[in-house]
Amino acid sequence: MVSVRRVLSILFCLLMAGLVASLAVGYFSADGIQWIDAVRIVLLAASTAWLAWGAAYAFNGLLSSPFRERKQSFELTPTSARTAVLVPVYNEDPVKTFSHVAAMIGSLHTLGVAGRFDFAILSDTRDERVAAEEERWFERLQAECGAHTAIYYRRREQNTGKKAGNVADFIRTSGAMYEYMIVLDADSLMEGATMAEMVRRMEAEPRLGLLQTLPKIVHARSFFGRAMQFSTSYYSPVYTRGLAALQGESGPFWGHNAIVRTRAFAQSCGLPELSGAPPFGGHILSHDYVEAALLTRNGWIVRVDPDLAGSYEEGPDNVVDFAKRDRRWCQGNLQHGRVMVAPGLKPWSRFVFVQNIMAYVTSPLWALFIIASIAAPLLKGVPDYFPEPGLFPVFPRVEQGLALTLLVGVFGLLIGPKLLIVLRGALSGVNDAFGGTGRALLNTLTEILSTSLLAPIMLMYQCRAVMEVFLGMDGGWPATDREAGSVSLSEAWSASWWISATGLVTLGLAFQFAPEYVGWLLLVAGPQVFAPLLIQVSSRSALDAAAAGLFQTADDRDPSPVVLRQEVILSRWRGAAQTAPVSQPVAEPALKPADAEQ
Amino acid sequence: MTHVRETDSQPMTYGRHALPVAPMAMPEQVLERRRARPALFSVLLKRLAWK
Repeated sequence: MVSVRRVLSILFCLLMAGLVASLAVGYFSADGIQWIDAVRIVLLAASTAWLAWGAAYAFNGLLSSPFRERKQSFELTPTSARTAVLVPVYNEDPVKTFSHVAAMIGSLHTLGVAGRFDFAILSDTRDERVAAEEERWFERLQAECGAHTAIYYRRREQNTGKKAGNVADFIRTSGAMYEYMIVLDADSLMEGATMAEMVRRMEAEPRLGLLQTLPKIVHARSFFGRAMQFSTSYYSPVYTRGLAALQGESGPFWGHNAIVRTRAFAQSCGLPELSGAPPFGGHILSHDYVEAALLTRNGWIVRVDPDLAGSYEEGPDNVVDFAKRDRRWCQGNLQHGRVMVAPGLKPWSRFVFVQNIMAYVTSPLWALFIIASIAAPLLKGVPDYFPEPGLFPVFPRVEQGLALTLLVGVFGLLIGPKLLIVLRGALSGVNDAFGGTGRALLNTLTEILSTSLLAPIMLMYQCRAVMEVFLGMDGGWPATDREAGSVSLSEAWSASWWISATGLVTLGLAFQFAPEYVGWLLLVAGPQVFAPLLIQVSSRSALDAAAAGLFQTADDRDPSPVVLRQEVILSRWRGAAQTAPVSQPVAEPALKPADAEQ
Repeated sequence: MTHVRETDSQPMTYGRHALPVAPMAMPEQVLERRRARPALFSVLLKRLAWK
């Protein structure tokens, strides 16, 4: 079944690319097809195939989702397996990270299974001041939670191999103690019931090497962050079901909020340094996908289970921080070009690496398409007004209808799946948790509008990232500041003035050389011209608008107990940080009754 | 249940809350194919040059 789905999905992409190419041939051939048109058609077809691939995930997800999703009741099963919960940290705010750990331990303790799990905070922090704070707050964590479970903290002298090296160091030091490891990020949160259920699923399938959950974004404050939070909550379950249906037993690993079988991981995932210097050589940056491919190479199953609820993470709250993270991911994904030819990999794993590369290469393809379209009238020269002998000239006929069909087709691949998700949510009742179908539709349209405005800006950031990597510039490993709030206009200007300039130059050139395209190009260049303003506005707090229902998610109405617990602990700790010594234990936070019911 | 260990004897870590020692081997995987052709080519070149 997986193979059939894969073949049909690939055929769908080829069909969409072919349809768009044939429409483009019709449109561009108004004044005769020349080599520049062939370039444009190839660029458009390749970019469309990529968009269609995203849509194929959604269609597979819509077809494979149960119509009525039943909430699974958690059953505690006996096990002697020990699980290490790994929390790699790198210059993050220790108070916040440790409040996440405390909330998860509390959740496990409420369930009565905290003794099965050991927590290991694996610090790669380089900033001595932050490291001192980590030690200080670890004392507090121990004082409050040490009675329930074992908690370890260690800091490496060298952060060799970044996060992958950090986890490998844990395995080489302590791996034999644990059947399973739950790998988290500093901002991860998981319900105790989810962690216990992951262990149960690993026990039930001895060939399962890695089980990935779908983390939903929480704690977003800005318009940009709330839009992402809505996307991961409303669309992502469908897209991830599609991903699971297409990838089958060669599933993804997203680096965190997943459980791995320690033996399988140790046997398969020792990552070497790639020959040569960064950005293409050296340590593997996007190690998670490589680890998934290596597990499947060794015969282990890698699976994503979208039905596993209670898995959370935080995301960047503004475009600038998103672009910084994207720069790192871009370098890591382009590095997959080196890894995809590794011996023994499953063909699907190689195809996944191609997808990872395409995720970033598509932006320059769109940019090249725009440049080629502006340059086309210059390069094509004067059309032949007298193709046949006679008195009457034949003027080139611009097929605006074809252009419109082309635009609708391309946008349809982007927004069509989202609208279908709303329709399906209306029929299945999922929309009720999102404020009803009217609210869900309104929020979907708002998300589409905001994504459409920000996409041309992201396109430029991705183009720059790809260019930098190909020019041999190493982006390094900047720490993610997930608590960075709004961006001022001057900060936004310094981060995006070059995008405004590019937008203006694009429009100027289009007026000069390709005036018939100016209307279409405004969709891309318009938001680019106003990039600083859009970045600043989208980073503003949206909490008041959220209270009124903007980007409402199911978790807004019914927050997860572990998220509530973490918020209470954090506010208590932050309050206490200014008034009391940190090692002084404080009473358990008051929690809503649902916490005890899980 | 809290485990706190001194780490003076462990060169890989420092801090006062080191991990339990239960090592597991994690061999490096082969990700890059050996470049057989250039090596063969250079061997052939050397032999020809010697002759």
